[in-house]
Parts: sequence; structure tokens; C-alpha cells
Amino acid sequence: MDAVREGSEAAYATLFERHRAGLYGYALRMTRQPEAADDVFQESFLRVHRARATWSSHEGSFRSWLYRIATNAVRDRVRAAARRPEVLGEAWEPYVHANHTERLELERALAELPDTLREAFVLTAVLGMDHNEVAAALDISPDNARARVSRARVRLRELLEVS
Amino acid sequence: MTDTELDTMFADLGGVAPPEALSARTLAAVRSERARAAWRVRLGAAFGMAAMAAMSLMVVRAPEAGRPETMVERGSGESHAVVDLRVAVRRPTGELSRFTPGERYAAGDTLMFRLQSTTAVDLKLLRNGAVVWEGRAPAGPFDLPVGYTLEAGEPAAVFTLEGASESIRFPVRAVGP
Repeated sequence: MDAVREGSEAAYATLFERHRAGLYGYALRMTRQPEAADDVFQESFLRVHRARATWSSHEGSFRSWLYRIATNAVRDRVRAAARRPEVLGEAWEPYVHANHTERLELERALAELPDTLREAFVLTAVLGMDHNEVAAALDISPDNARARVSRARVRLRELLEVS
Repeated sequence: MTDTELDTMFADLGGVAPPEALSARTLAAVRSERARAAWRVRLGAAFGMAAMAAMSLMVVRAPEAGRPETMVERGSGESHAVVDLRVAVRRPTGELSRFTPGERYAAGDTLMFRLQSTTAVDLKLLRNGAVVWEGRAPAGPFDLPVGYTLEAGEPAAVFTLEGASESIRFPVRAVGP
């Protein structure tokens, strides 16, 4: 990240490569619209580039900073759309390959969660962040992060049992 | 199902590879911003040197006050507006999609333009040098009140947005018959 801050294009490309799938998956799961996810993805990496000089390791990991930027981009996008995005149902099809049915069920269950629970759970379970990283990414306390993840798990169990 | 089992199940979903075109577009946008920033630094340095040169001239020979021929009109204050341009394509069916450079569009497709400017600014949208739209764009997002509908057999063209800190150019391929 130091090289990125100093303007290294190669370092930026490496960082982009490392995080692009994770961030695109997060954008898709949060916006539930492929076109909106495209915008969030591009906007997030542009914001990272613009704000690269402001990142400091004292504020937490680079990954939590990246996802804080992405979360803000998602919220901006949803606000701008001025309507609640529809549940991404069949639009998931191009992105789901192996174990098709099971994966689609999990994606649909995730889509049913309220935004605040979904973002915390995706960051924890899908992206493997700990509570401190999730807290930094969502700008909430670690206790709050833990509580949201816990509520998300309860709701997901209910949803998966019903389906 | 334990928390760990539940998390593991969702962990298997993993990331989602973005479309290659999106990755390429994103990296190109970052490169473009990098180039624009470098250009602004060079421009700033040039202004600084020009200002120093002007000051040294004033020491040698200050202009006489009150004589119109010694007065010089300076910039309008708008030339520093940084403008982003987004282009979409509206099909005759009403379907909207992003404009992709290099893609061949059909007669009847309409190019739509959205600007995002840091300050209010007077702009011109040109097609091969001919004005398509001219007017004042406010700060923030702004949809141009006109689109450009492609006609059958129309040759390749270059659209240019002028008036911002730098011109934005994008080519449009020839339209099929």
C-alpha cells in the first residue's frame, strides 16, 4: 500500500487484482443489481485511488478501509436510485456455476437480510473479516458488529429452514 | 447448525469475478485520473512560473493605471472546472445501456450524455467540430437536454466536450446501413 500511496501503477494493479473478486461480490450482494454493482465497483477503486494518500495503517487494515469506501459507494448508489433495489433473483444466474441450486438458495437467503445485517455478515462469513475489521469497515463498534452478525445468523437459519 | 458450519457454507460462495470489460474500464479510469492529475500539476507549475515572470516585469515597468490599453482581461474563473462525461445509448425500444467505445451502434440508437462538474461551467459538445449542444452546466450531475440519434450510413465521428479544464474526446464507429 505504501507503493500505491506513492503513485506506483504496478502496485495499484496488484492491489486491484487481489481485491477485485471480493469487492465485486460484495457490490453485487449489497446492490442486488449488476449494473449498480458495476458502478459501485468502479467508483470504489476510483475513490481508493483519489484517497490513497489519506490511508494510514493506524486506522486499521487496508481491506477494512477498502470496504468502508465500498460500503459508502453502495449507500450513495442506493440513495441516488431513490428506490429499494429488487431482490437479485435470476440475475444471479451468470455468476453462479458449481452447486447451482444450493448456491442460488444461499444468495437468495442473503438477499432477504436487511442491509445492515447483510453487509456485516458478508464481510464476516464470505470475506473472512474479524469483528474489528467489520467494525472499521462499517464505522460501528466491534460490539455492534458482533451483534449484527449474530442477528444475521439467526435470520439466515430461519430462511434456510423454510426453503 | 453451528455458527461455524453456517459461516463455512456462506464462505464457499466466495468472491465474484467482475466482467473483464469492467476491470479494464476501471483500470483505464484510474489511469486517466492519474494522467489528469499529472497534467494539473504541470499546469500549476506553469502558472507559477508565469506569475513569477509577471511580477518581475512589474518591477521593471509597472503598467500605468487608468489607461484601458494597459489593462488586460484575465481568466473567467471557470477554466478549472473538472468535468466527467458519461455516455449511454438508448435503443429505439427504450432500453438503456452504457456506451462502449469500439462497439458498432445501429441507426436509431441515441447517445445520451450525463455530466458531473466541480463548478458551473459553459460547455460545448461537438461532433467532428460541429456543435451538438452548447450551454451552461451547473455544478454536480447534469443530463444534457439533447441526445444524438445515429443515422443509417453515418461515418465514424469524434465527439468532443470543450470548456472544462481539459477536453474530453470519444470516437463513435460508423453506423451500419
